[in-house]
Amino acid sequence: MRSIQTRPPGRVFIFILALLLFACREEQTPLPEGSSRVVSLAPNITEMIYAVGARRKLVGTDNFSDYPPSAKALPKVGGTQPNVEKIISLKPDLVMASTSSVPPGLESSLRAAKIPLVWIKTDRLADVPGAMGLVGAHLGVLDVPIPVARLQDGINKQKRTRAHPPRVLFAVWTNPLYVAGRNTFVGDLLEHCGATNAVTVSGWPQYSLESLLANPPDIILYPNLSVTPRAMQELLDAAPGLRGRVRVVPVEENVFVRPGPRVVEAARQLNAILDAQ
Amino acid sequence: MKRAIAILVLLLGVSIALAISFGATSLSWHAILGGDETARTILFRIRLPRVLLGALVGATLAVAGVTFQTLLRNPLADPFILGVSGGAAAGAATATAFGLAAYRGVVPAIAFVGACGATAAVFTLARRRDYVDPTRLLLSGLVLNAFFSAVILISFSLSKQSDLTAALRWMMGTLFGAGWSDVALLGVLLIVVITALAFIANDLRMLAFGEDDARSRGVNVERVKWIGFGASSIVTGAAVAVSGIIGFVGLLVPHLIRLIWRRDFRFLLPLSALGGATLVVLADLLARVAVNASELPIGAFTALLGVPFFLSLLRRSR
Repeated sequence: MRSIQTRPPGRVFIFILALLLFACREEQTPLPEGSSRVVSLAPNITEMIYAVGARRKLVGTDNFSDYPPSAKALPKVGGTQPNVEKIISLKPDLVMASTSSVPPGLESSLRAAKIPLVWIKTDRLADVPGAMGLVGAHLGVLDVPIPVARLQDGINKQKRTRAHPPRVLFAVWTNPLYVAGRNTFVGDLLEHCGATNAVTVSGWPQYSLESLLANPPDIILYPNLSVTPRAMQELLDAAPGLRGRVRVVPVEENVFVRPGPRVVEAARQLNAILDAQ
Repeated sequence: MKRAIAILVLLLGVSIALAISFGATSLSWHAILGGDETARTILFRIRLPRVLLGALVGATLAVAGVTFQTLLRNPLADPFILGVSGGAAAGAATATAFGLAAYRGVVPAIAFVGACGATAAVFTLARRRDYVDPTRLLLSGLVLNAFFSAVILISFSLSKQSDLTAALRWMMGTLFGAGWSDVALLGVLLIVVITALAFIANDLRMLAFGEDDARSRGVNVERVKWIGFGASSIVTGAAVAVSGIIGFVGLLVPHLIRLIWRRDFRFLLPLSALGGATLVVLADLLARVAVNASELPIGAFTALLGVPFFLSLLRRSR
């Protein structure tokens, strides 16, 4: 049996170290001067790309992008966990993703494919016009300030102050109950239109039935796709005493939970609901 | 034995009293006796059924755990390891992926079928002629769990983002929305199952010394196994169907009881039921009040409460 040769670790060690350093270095992919082929990984980003007039540059979207209707016909690259091979096969020179859903590994695999990635942040209502400006700038849309100003103007026009602000609860899910709290996009929308969020905590908490009864809302809004009227009835059954005192209104889910150009439409619909109170 | 039961009944009583006294909203006796409608609704139609359902779920899981451990003569056995809970969760997740969460009662029913199906599958796999081999049973449970995890993962990937919340309800476990009908259903079922187990308690006790030994003493070992596994699985399925998966109770509570009192199955059965009920009632109380107006997953608190207590006992008993 041959004895195992031990070599001084010198060169191999340094080589591996160099490889590691190379792999770990913070590679800042340069942003292109107006990309020409973009993949959108979120429906609100897709809507922004259409709104700034850059739909010709959109070569693919995530599975949830369904508006405007023609976006449905674009190649799809997957849902919450997009298929990177599919993205690469579309030969984009830019990928746009939302900070609110970060697929694990997306950043590193796109970097390996040398495809630039831009994160778009739209956590709050006030973020939306600026985010749309950023989308337009990355796509080389020169007159992007015009649609952005129009969006900002539309938002401003929906601002209301009400003498008796209705207390509104936005139920994202009913069993268990998840709600839109303060300091969220939907929470901002409620306050912008002159309502009071019946939920006093921040974020998107799982909410207790006791709190629902102790701080009863005047109106419960629910997204029409995730929550069925039947599920809402079950929630009212589980929270006896609310029925008859609260108005339950379904809202167009894709308008209300997508922080994109249709926020103006969401605010308009919300104001119509609140005006009827 | 009498002292142990008295202590645990007292503990459970105190826990239930605490759990009824505290919640997301503070209720005063004054408001309740004074006829404040909201306060009464919160107490009698939301908080009380939830606390009682927690006690029943805890008792169920602990009873199932102690029965499985005794039958298999394996300290690791519990509804989770044998795949009963996994079957329930896989059923619930699949039903959710097919969009059935929108229909009342469908997902819990499929979860129940999943639990019973898992038991039947584990048994069929572990059976050799007329004999159920404990080692094969545990191994089958482990393998089936891996299969159920795969089913759950695929269902999750196929679900819409909004449906994920529904599927997560089963994985995380919650007593949200507990009503009197759930309490009645699980309560009746648990009484039937505990009665059935009490009838075979003496046989189960003898089984602890080994199957051949028990057989020579005239115990119908296979019949005891069928009743034990069947009853425990049905009631576990019902518990998972109303509350989702609440971990650690079935494994932890019987061991805690053994570490403190070291008794045979006839004593372990009622003591585990009381201990399990106490643990889940306290864990749910913490889940409800830890963060203002929000609720946290109950399974985290059963582990947070039970594990340190268990480890300190384990150290002392060495």
